[in-house]
Amino acid sequence: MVKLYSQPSCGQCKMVHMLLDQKGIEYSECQDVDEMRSLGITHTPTLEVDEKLLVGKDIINWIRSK
Amino acid sequence: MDERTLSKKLKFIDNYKVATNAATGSEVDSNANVSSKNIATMSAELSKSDFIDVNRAITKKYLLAKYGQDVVEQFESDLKNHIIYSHDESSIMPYCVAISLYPFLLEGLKQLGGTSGAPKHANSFVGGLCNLIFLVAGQFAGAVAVPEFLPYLDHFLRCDYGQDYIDHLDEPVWNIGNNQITVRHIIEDLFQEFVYCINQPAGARGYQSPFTNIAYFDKGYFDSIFKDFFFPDGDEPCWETTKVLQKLFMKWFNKERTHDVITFPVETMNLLWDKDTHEYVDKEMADFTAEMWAEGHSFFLYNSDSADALSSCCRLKNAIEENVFSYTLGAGGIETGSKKVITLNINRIVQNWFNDEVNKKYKRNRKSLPEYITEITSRVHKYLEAWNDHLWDMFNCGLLTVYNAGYIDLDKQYLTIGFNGFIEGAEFLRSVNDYIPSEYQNLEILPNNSAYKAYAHDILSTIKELNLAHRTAHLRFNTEQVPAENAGNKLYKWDKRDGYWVPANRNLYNSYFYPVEDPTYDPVTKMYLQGKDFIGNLDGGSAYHCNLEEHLSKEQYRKLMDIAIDAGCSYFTFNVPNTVCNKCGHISKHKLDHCEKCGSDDVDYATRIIGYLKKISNFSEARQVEAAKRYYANIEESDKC
Repeated sequence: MVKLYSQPSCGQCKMVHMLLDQKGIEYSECQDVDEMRSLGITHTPTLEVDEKLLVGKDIINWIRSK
Repeated sequence: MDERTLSKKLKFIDNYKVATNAATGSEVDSNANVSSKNIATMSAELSKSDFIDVNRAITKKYLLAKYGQDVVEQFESDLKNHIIYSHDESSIMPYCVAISLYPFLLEGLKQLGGTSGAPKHANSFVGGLCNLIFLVAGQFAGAVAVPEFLPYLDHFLRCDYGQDYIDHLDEPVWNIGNNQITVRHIIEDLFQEFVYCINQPAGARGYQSPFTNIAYFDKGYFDSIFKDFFFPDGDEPCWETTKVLQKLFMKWFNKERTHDVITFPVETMNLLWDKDTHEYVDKEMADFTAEMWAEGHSFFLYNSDSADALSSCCRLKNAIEENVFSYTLGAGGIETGSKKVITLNINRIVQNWFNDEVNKKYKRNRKSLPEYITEITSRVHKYLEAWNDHLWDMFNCGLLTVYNAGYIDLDKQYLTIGFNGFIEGAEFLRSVNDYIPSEYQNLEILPNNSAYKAYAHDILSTIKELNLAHRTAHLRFNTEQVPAENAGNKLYKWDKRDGYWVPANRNLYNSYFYPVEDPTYDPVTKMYLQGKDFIGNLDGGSAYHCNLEEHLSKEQYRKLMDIAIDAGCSYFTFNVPNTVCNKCGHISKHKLDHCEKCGSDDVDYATRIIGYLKKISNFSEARQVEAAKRYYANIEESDKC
């Protein structure tokens, strides 16, 4: 289960979209700020993978490992 | 076009031909950011009055749709009576922007109609960035900030020359004949390419160079802005190398400015201080800041105790958070700016309030100054909202391609209420001291004067509270002490013509909380007047220009930086006029009556007109008069601090 937390004008979010699509990874997306805050998310993009939250370079590394 | 309009335009051409410079020749929007007067600048001026009509028609169209005819008529009345001044009406574009460069890294310039793909090396990054700035500036009326310029350049330099390139600056990369090309040469060539390119006049902007801002960060702000950031190749920003690159750029730029008067980029150093110790957190960058001023460099300093005070592209925001630092002429955070600026003519508003509410003998239910300001501000919010609707329509039709491409988000920019004529309003109240409410009596323009503080609070905090009250997901307001390059002069002239009190010792309205021409105000007093007791009422920008006759030592500048923390003066710069020799071209960082190189007394001076550096001979005639009246404090006086 992969979920991308993003904001509309976030360039890095757009890049994560592109990388996920390139790898054919299925994911859902959330842009609800309140939901993000309730999970303790302070920055986007944040990628939830099997209930673990990945940020920064960890997102890239995870996608590349797929 | 009817005969009368045509005749007016032909007359304008005749007047322009004999004007002393481009700024003076402009009837609508005189701007010193045009060094040469030519047929292109004249052509750009020719259609400005038509654009103003279109601009106002657009605002009225959206006002009518949302609020009805009464508000349209009120808008017309406020403009006609110079209660408000709508900035850059000769453009129908959004005002100013601090963009994220990330879309450029992903897709190059193609989404903006350019041909370049995503940059892969330092060379293609700088070349593409220059083109990007011109493309973005073509869609905005005002400034374009690229705060990420140096952190991104650092990324490409590490890609090209290794993660440790700063340790090998003087090692040869290749040889051309007998010349060894080092990493330092390559970096300085890139600086040169960037700076000279962005200072080129832009054909699409009436021969104005794009007003370009860049930022420097200390470690605290760098960490805050680039937390969890990654470049498209997965690389992360590097503080240690970016720090060195920032220093290299500042040193190089300062030296380059002895060869030519280089206006752009306008630079802002951003320093974080500790709220407990009241000391700068990154002492190395704070010391370097003072060092650069002592070496004669001219740039702004933004300082704050909040790491979140600068916007980041990716930090989560909510609807009620405090406004981030945003100033129409400076750079701090990323993805911010103003969609539109409408300025309140405070001097006229205060006099109208006095005449309509205070001085009417038999009037019941007199409005207080905050109540009077509330009515006007609420109207201006509607006018700004109309412009916001216009921009959203443009966006939805795909016409705002800078937004469509993701460089900026309409919801992240402000609708800005400017103010001008502030101290003149206070000076007027002083002249009617016996007839005004007691809280404003015995007003003196001094840091500890309770009447002046009450006056500032009642006007500015009222606007600030309304800005917050009227905030929605799509409407974000702020208040700015606008530089008012043109507005200050126009409002003064109109008020004088219409019988309002204006100070005789000034030819335009001040853009500060102190009288800029008065020699009795020392630099420290002015810093407190431009400090938290006054700018604390603002939710937008303001700038203190500390005009000095001569440069201070590094230690003196460092001391003033500490005083700025105590005063709560968050944005300031030091101006020491540079001497430009008209004969040999030499530029001295000092104010001299002759050229120190060739001895000629045919010299001009370069100083900041409002926020940007220009030769005084490029200023409009009104601004040249004002420049001559500015008081530049001498070193002995500054030693008081």
